[in-house]
Amino acid sequence: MTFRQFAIYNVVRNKRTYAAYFLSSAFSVLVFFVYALFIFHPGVNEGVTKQIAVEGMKVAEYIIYVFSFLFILYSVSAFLKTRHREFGILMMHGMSRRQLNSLVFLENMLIGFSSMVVGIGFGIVFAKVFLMLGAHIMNFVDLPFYLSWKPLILTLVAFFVLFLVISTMTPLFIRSSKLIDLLKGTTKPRKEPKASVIVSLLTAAALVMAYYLSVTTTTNNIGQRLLMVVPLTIVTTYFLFSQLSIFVTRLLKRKQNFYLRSTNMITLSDLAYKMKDNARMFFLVSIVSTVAFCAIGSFAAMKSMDKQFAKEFPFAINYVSKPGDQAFHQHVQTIEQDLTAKHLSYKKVSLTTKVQDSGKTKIPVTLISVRDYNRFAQVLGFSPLEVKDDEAYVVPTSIDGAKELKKHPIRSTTLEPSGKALKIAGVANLVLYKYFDSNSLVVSDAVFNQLQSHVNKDNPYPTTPVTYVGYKVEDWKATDGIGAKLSKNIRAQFKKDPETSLPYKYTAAGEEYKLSEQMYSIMFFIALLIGAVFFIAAGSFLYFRLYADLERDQRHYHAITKIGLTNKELNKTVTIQLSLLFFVPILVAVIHSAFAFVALQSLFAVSIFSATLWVLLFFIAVQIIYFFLIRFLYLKHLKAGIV
Amino acid sequence: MLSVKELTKVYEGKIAHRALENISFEVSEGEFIGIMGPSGSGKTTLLNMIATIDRPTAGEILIDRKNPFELKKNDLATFRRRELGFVFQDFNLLETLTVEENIVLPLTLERVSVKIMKEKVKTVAKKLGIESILNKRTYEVSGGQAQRTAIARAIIHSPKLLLADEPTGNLDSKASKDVMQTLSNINKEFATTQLMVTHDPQAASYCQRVIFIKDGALYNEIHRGDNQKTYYQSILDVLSLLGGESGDLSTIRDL
Repeated sequence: MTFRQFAIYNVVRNKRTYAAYFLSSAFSVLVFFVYALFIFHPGVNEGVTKQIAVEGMKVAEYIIYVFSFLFILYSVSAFLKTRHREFGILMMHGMSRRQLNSLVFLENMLIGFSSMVVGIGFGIVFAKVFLMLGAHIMNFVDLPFYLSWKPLILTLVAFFVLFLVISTMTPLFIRSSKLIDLLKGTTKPRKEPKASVIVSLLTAAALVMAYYLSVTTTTNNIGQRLLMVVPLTIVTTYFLFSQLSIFVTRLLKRKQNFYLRSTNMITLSDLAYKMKDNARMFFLVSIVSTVAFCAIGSFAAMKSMDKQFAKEFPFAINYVSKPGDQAFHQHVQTIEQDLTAKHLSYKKVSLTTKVQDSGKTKIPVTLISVRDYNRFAQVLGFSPLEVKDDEAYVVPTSIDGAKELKKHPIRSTTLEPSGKALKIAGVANLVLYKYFDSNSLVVSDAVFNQLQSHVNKDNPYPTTPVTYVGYKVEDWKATDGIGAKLSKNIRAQFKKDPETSLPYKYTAAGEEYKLSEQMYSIMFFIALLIGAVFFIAAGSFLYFRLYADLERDQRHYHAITKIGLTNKELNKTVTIQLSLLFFVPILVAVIHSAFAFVALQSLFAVSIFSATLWVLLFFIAVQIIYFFLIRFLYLKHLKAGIV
Repeated sequence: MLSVKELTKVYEGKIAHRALENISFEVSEGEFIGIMGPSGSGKTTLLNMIATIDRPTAGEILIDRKNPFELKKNDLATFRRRELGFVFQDFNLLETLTVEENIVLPLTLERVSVKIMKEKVKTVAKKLGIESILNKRTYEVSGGQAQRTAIARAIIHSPKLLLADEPTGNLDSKASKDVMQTLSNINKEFATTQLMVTHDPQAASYCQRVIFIKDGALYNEIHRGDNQKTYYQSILDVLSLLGGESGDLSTIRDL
C-alpha cells in the first residue's frame, strides 16, 4: 500500500459518508456547466432578451461559485472534525504534520476531481436536453445543440481552482495539534450549550420584530427593509435553534411522567447529546432552504402577471402621433390592415391633447377635454365625468400613483401661460399615462377649446400636444406582431441614434406581454437552478449530520436492543429523531419564506399567493420523499448486525 | 535503553492535580517490563509520556540516550515512526483498511517500496498466526485477531521500544493468553524492549519485571524468577498490599 493508495482507500471505502457531499458538489458543477453552455451558445447572442438572459446567467455563475465555495469548505471541515481519532492514531504511528496535510489534500482533490468529472460528464451527455429544456422554459424559439470548448474549460478551470484552494486550506482546520486530544477524538460527549433567559427573550423579540418589519413593507421602503430584515432573521434563526432546542429538551426532561415513558428517554437523551451539532445544522438548512424557496417562489409568482398586464394596457394597441408625424394616416392604415388580417375585432378611439405648464412647478401638464375622456370611459366601461369650468380631474401617472393621490390629494393648480386657475375635483380613472410625457388633467370642453398649446422649448425633453389612437381588442395577448413594422422602425432608430426619437410611439400589449413574460421566464429558469443547488446542498447537510454519527448510533442501538428494545420501538425512536431533523428546519424556512413573500407582495399589484404556495408545497413534498428514502437507508444501516 | 528521571506531571486546572511525582527507573535493552497499580495511580499518564504523546511537567525521559521532547515536531514524528511501536487497549485499527493495510501503515508513512512491505507482512503475519485474515476488513475479525493485527502493526518496522496500554483489557482469557504469548515471543526473538501497562496480574506474569506505582509514585518492583506460578502469586500479594479496591483486580485465573 503506497501513500497514494492509502488516501484513495480512505475515500473509496468511505463512500457512504461522502455520497451526499459528492452528489451535491457534482450537481453544483453541473449547473455551473449548464449556465456556461447557454452563455457561450452563439444562438443566445441575438436579440435583447437573450442578451439579458446571458447577463443574468453570468450573475448566477458567480452566485453558484461563491455558494459552492462556502458549501464545500463547510462540508470538508465538518468531515475532518469526525476524523480526529483517526488522525491521532496516524500521528502516533509517526505521521508527520506534513504527511497528514498531504493526505487530507489528496483525499479532497480526489473527491473534488471526481465530482467535477461526473458533473461535467453528465452535462455533456445531456447538453442537448438541457438546451431544449432551457429554451422551452425561457420561451426561446430553439437552441440547436452546440458544444464548444469554452464552457468546458471555464467549468474545469473554475472548479479546479476552487477545489485546489479549499484542499490547500483544509489542513488548517485540524486545529488541536495535541496528540492526546486528537486520540480522544469525537468520542467525548459534547457539552450542552448554555441557555440564557435574556438571550431567549431577545431572540423572540427580534423574530417578532423581523416578521413585523416584513409584513409592513411597502414598495418604497423594501430595499431598506431587506437590509434590516435579512441579517436580523439570520442571526435570530441561529439563536432560535441554539436556545430553543435546549429550552424545549430541558422542559421535556423535567416532566418526568413524559420523559420516563416508553422510548421518550432514549429519543430525548440522544437529542440532547447531539444538541450543539444539531442546532448548527438546523440553522444552516433553514437559511439555505429559505433562500431556495424565496428565489424560486418570487420568480414563479412573477410569471403569472396576466392580470397586472390587463390593468396596465386598457387598450391593446396604442399609437401616439407627435407634431411632425407625416405618416400618421399611413400608419393607422397599417395597424388596421394587420388587425383585419389576423381577424381581430377592435374598437377604435382617438383624442388630441393640449399642453400648458404648471404655474407652481413649471412642469408641463397635458390637457384632455372631458368629451374625449367620456368617449374613452364608455369604451372601457368607466363611469363618465362631469367637469365644471373651474375644475379639473387628475389622471395618475401609474397604479401606485393613483393610490398616492388618494392619500395626499392635490387641491388646486394654475396653468401658465394662460393663467387659468383650476380646483382639483378628484382622480380620473384613465390609465394612459404611458403615452403622455407628463401629468394629465381632464378639463371641461369650454376650457379646453379656449386654451392654446404652449410648448416650453427650454425643457430638455419638451412635452408636445399629441394625437393618441387606441384600439381595444378583447384577445389582447394575440396582438403580438400587429404593427410589427412600426416597432421595427422604432427599434432601428434607437439603435442608430438613441438621442433622437421618431415623431410617433407605438406599443402592442401582446408584444410587450411576450417580452416581459420571456424576461420573467429567464429569471425563473435561473432562479430555479440556483434554488435547486441550494436545496440539494441543504439535503447534503442533513445527510452528513446523520452519517457522521452512524457508527456511534449503531453501537448505541445495538446496546439498547440487547436490553430489549423491539424493532417497532426502534423504528419509532429513529423516525421521531429523523422527522425533527428533516422537518423542523424546513418548517422554519417555510415560515421565513412566507413572511418574505408578504414583503415581496408589496412589489406587485396582483396577488402572488397561489404561485408561492405551490412552490412551497412542492418543496415540502420533495422533502417528504427525501425523508422516507433516508429513513429507509438509515434504518437498514442501523440494523445491520442487530439480531 | 530507556531511562526515566524524576518524572513529574501536573494537570493544571481549578485544582492542580499531581498525576506523577518524581518517578525514576531504568529499562535495559531487551527487557519486558510491566507497570501495574490501582486505577488513577498514573500508569497511563506515565506510558503516554514515554510514548511522547503527552509532555512531562518536570524531569526527563531518555530513549536510547536521546530526549524525544527536544526534537522538532517533524523529527518527533519520524522518531515515533522509526523507534516506537504502540498497542492499545481498543486496538485502534483503521476501519477503512484491511488487516494487511493496517499492518503496513508505518511502512507506508515511511514510503518503503511495496515489495519490501509484502515481504515483511508475510514474515510478521506468519509469526503472529494471522496469515489467513490478511485480506479481511477490521470489523470482520475477532478481538484477539484484531489485537494481534495491532501488534503486527507495532512491530513491522522493528521498533526499539514497544509500548502497550492494557493490551488484554478488551479480550477474553483465551485471547489474552495468545496475545501475551505473542508479545513474550517477540520479546525473546527480536530482543525488542517492551513496556506494558496492565491491570491483569496474569498478563503481568509474562513480564520479566513488574513496577508498581501508587498515587503517582513508585511503590515496589518484583522480578520474575524461574517459576511463573510463584511470580504470579507474588504479583497478587503486592496488589493486595497496594490496597486498591478489590474490584481493581481482575478475576484470578488458573495458569
